[in-house]
Amino acid sequence: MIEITPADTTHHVATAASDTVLAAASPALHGAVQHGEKFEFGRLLDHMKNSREIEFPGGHFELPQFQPIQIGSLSLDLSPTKHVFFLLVAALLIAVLAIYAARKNRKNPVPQGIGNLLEIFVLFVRDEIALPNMGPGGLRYLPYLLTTFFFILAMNLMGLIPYGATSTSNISVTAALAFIAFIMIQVAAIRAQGVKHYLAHLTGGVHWSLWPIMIPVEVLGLFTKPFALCMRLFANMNGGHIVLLALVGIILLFRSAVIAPLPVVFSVGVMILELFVAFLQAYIFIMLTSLFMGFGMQTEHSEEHAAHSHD
Amino acid sequence: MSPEPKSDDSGRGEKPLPGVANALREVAPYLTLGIQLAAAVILFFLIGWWLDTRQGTAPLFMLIGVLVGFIGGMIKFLKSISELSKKN
Repeated sequence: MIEITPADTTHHVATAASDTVLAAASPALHGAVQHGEKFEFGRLLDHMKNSREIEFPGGHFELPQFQPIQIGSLSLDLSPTKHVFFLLVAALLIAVLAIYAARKNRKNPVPQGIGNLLEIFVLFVRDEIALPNMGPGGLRYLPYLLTTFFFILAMNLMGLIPYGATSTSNISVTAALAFIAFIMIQVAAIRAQGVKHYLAHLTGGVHWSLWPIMIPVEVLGLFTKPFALCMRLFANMNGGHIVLLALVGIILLFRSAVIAPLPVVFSVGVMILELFVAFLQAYIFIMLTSLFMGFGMQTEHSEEHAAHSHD
Repeated sequence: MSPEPKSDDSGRGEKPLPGVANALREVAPYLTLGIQLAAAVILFFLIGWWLDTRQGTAPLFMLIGVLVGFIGGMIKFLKSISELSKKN
């Protein structure tokens, strides 16, 4: 998704920029810029991309690679990558924490520690997201919302741990999450309205001669909401990382310790912002999903009311 | 607009992120209107393109597709706008 500028262009721009700035700042620093060496921003960007190795302090290990599975003309490479690894770690972590907290909360009437912490989030999702957006009927979808919330949150936070990776900065992961959201939105609408009403809604309520135009447009309209969810999460998680890399890149670009404190201070600030964004994006994802589910469930009420008042 | 239970607001002190929640609730119906309009044009353009490559009638169906897509997208756009303003 991210176009990396060819190393040559980066190099020229980088040296040109640093030349002028450093020459103006201090002639003594000028020697710090080595014209012969390449400034490889591309290698920094590699840390954002998916890869087949897991890094840890003092080395890295290769993930196993399986033979691609052939289904017809389609070949599926199902071997794990860095993002898959951290996705599974996030899922495992959330499962263990949630089960442990649930067991603990069942024993103590007053939740303490981790049970109390998770209960705050659960109550928040129930009282501030599910109930206001979907009404009491939305409580049956609460498990889905909670699972998605904790899962996205855990994946977002994984990227802030040193040597970690953000699985949600991979568009395949967000697309899969959005696909599940798409199914849930349709299921909520069909359950609330019935298949007949749901299909009738797809014709857009126009004259039948316009149906060949309107039905594709309406069907397309179903997909735009999850598509926006997918792109929003993906772009937000990548954006913070790119800003961080750009800030760290400044140090490498100038090759001097004098300039270093400023980017470090800024990147600490951006890190704190990323911590906030990790929570905010998980919140926005389920907030919008529940809102869209609520719209589908709401039309049923208004239509039913309209039908009853006509009768 | 949204079915808010009355017991929710009262007696629970401050709500976390009230501004964001309300803003999202307000903006959510309008969020994808733009994508929808553009996607309708693109969808019918692609259908026209596909027909053109099959039949060899180079720009004909593409142009018809863009026109039809624009009409369809506009109908949907205006309908959603009028529905939303009726609700408010």
